[in-house]
Amino acid sequence: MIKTEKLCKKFGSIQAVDRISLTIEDNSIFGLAGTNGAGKSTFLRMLAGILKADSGKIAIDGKEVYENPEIKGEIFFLPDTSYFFQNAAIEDMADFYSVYYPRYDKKRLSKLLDKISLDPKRKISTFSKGMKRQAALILGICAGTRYLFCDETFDGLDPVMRQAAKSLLAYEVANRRFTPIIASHNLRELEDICDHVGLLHKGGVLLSKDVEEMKENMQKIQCVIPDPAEEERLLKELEVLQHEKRLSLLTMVVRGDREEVMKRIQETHPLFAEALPLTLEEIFISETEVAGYDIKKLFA
Amino acid sequence: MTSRNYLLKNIMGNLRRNLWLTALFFLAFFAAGPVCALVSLDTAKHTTAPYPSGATLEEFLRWTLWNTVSPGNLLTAFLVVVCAALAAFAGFFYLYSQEKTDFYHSLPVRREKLFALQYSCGFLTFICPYLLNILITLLVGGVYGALDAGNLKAAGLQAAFAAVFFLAVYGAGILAVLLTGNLFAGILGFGAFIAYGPILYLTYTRLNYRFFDTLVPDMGGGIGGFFSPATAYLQAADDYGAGKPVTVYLIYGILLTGLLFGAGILVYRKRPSESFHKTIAFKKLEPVIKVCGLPPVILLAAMFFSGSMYDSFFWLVAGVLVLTLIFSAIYDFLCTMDIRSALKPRISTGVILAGLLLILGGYRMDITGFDRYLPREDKIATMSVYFSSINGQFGYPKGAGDTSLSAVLREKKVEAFQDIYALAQKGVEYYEKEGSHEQENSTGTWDPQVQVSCYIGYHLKSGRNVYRMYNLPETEEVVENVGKIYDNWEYRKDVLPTSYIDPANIQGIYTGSFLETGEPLDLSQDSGETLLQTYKGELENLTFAQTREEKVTGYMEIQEETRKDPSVYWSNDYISYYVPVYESFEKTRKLLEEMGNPMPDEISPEEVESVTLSRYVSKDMTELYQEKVFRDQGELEKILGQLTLTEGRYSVGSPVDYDVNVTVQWKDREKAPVSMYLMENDRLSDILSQLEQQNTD
Repeated sequence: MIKTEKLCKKFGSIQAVDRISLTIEDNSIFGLAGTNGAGKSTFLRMLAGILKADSGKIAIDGKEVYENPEIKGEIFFLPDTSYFFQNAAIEDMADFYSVYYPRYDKKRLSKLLDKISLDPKRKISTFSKGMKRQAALILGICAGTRYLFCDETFDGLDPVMRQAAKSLLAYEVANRRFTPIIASHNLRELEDICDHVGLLHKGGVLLSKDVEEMKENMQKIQCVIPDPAEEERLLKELEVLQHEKRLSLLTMVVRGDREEVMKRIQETHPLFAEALPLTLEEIFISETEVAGYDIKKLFA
Repeated sequence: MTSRNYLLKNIMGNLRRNLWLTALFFLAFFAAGPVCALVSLDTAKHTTAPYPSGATLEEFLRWTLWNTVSPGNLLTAFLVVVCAALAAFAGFFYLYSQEKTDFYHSLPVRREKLFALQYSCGFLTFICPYLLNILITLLVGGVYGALDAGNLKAAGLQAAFAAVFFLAVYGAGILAVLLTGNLFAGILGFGAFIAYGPILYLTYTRLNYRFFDTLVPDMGGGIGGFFSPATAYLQAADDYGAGKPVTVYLIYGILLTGLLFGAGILVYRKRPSESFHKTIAFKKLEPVIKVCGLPPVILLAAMFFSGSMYDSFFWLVAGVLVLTLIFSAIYDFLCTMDIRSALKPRISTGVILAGLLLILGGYRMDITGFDRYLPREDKIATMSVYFSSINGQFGYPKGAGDTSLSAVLREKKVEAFQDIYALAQKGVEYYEKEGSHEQENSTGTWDPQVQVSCYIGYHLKSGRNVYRMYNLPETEEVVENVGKIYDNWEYRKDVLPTSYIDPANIQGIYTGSFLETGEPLDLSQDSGETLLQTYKGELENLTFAQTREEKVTGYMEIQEETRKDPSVYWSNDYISYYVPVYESFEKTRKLLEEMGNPMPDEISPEEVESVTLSRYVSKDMTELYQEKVFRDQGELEKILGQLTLTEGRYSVGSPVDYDVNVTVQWKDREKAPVSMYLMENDRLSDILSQLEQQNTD
């Protein structure tokens, strides 16, 4: 488990991370969302033991990470631009990593590379940007660490590869003790893979919640209610986070159990009523609006 | 958690990745070692006899190889310094890049371990190709039959020096990388590490020269080289080539290596990973480096700027003011990369300015009392003194190191120093009365009187040694004081060159007199020793008053074979001493006459056709030439009776009129005219007045 308490980091006059307190449970895929400059990379680099926090605490499995090789041996950090030695092939990098990560699984590496048709003997410098990201991700997964910190890792992958990568992470989580943290500025990238999402803004955490929990407790309903008085009463009675009316079609994001919400709507004798799937972005918009932030502006 | 043989795997992997650097180092040392040795040995082998110093071909070949494999090989020393810098930057360059820093610092290894790994790899990258080339060079020497135990020992010593000083310079280079955040700043930082010590020392010595009139130059004991690993190494190489001891350099290198390694680990642990792209890695160090680093450069530049200007102190201060602002702005710009920010007034700039003005003010007012220094007599254990006009008149054994100004002041101590102390008192009083030379120069009131330069060493009972130099006007009182010092045997025994000549090593003696110059003396081993002992006795018994009053009737050029240093293959064959023969040295002159080289005390007028007196005089700001030819027998007799030679003659209190040049034209036209000087005498007043009346042009 990763736990941070009031974590702070300043670069000169810029407060990159401002009192972040987060708890990341084991065997979950944690999404770290936020705009550019929100502090995602700095936060991940602190979690990886690269940067020393100015103040606050980081505990990974209850231990401090900075200058702690024992804990760092359980972490593999994938930066947004991975570094490979000059003229190195994937197998050279694997050889290097295997010195530091004793559980490094070269057989699995070979299998995975074979599946995505990446030549382990080819110089990485000749790879495309997407291929380099694939190589970095596979090299990281095969390190056998319990934590994988991915900074904008899916940026640059084609949709097929992105889906494959997500599947790979999900497979790892399902089959061993493995906790990936994926930082991205793109909520859509995170929504279909993450179990838990934290939103950073200006160095601080706006919110951190379980995705399923948020989805279960929040409904997007489209309906047509013929009686305007009924409609007005419904909007007052339900915990409506957002609503929009186009002609007679009312679209609402409502907090509450789906059955109870639908039952209340049925009582107004609607001409039409149905529940729609919520995107992560919509959940965040609703949640952060409640918290007083206009997330549309954040991600504009 | 890391694998068991992780260290070895890591080093091997690192060496593989740095193969290009290993190859580069190999090529450099291959050119400087085996190739150079091959070329020079082949040239030596085909050189025809005779070989220098009477060596055999084998000795000559061994010496040729020794030049390449010994620590005195300056090219190798230079390459080691360059390689150390390259290895430091190549090994730790990753700290200048975010990607690479993240990569290395995310690995599960402590920073000090990572540092030690990189450090070791850099050293191995250098030492493997270097040692391989030393081995090849020795093999080449073996093929030419030049390999012997001496060369093996020299090669071992060169390897030890190369390894130690590589690590010292490498450590400095690494520290420069760790303290900076980009390549440009790193190179500047490395330059500063290598040059800061020498610049600081140079600034200190230049300030002392500039402000202290009584400072004795070059009394620093040669410590200047130790202010930088690179200069220490090059100086060690130079000293080894000159046959001087070099162990102290090795010890210095080892200590410095340890210190820099420790500092490197400490800084690496503290260095923030986010320091890439910054100029200085530690923000808090920016003003510290500025305040410590800029002042010596500013002072040197300001001294250079104001050195030749009329009111030099004013221009020195003005230079310091302007240069402080310029250098501070440049430094601040490098740190911030923002011109507006660089031009803002800063506390650090104020501190530098205030510090420099305080230093200059302190020097100007001589707040340490440097030029007025005179310890109490009861605090002095011994004193030493060097007169340019006495010590400077002789040749001494070259390379013996015991007769130069600094060696005399350090080593030739006099216990009965009352007369030296009295002279020092006169020096201090004269300085206090007349003020500094700078003031005299600026007011144009420089005393044109003949000056006596005396260098004095105070060796205090506390163990401290203090050295001062005074230029005193040549008054009778000062000359008398100098005479008392000279008549003290403790002083005189070290001045006379006869104290250093070993009669057994005399190769030949040549004489010069009023009659002829450069005549070789036909002498056997016994007669040579007799002549030298006779001369020594007469010279040692000569008082200072006699040296003033007597004519120098001739001189001897004594050639002595030099002692061969077994550690150096190459050395000069002999050295020459020029020693004067005074008119009272009757025994010496008699021996010389018996040997066929007479030294008469004067020239017979009957042999002389004419004597020409000439001189230059200053009149109404112009230089005028006067000349008068004398043929009258009476006048010739007067002039010839006062002639003297000047070889080895002390110039202090001398009655010799150096302004008037005397040229003797012989009746025998086969003999070349000779030039001499006159001893001042009342009998010559009418002669000199005739010269005075000559038309000038």
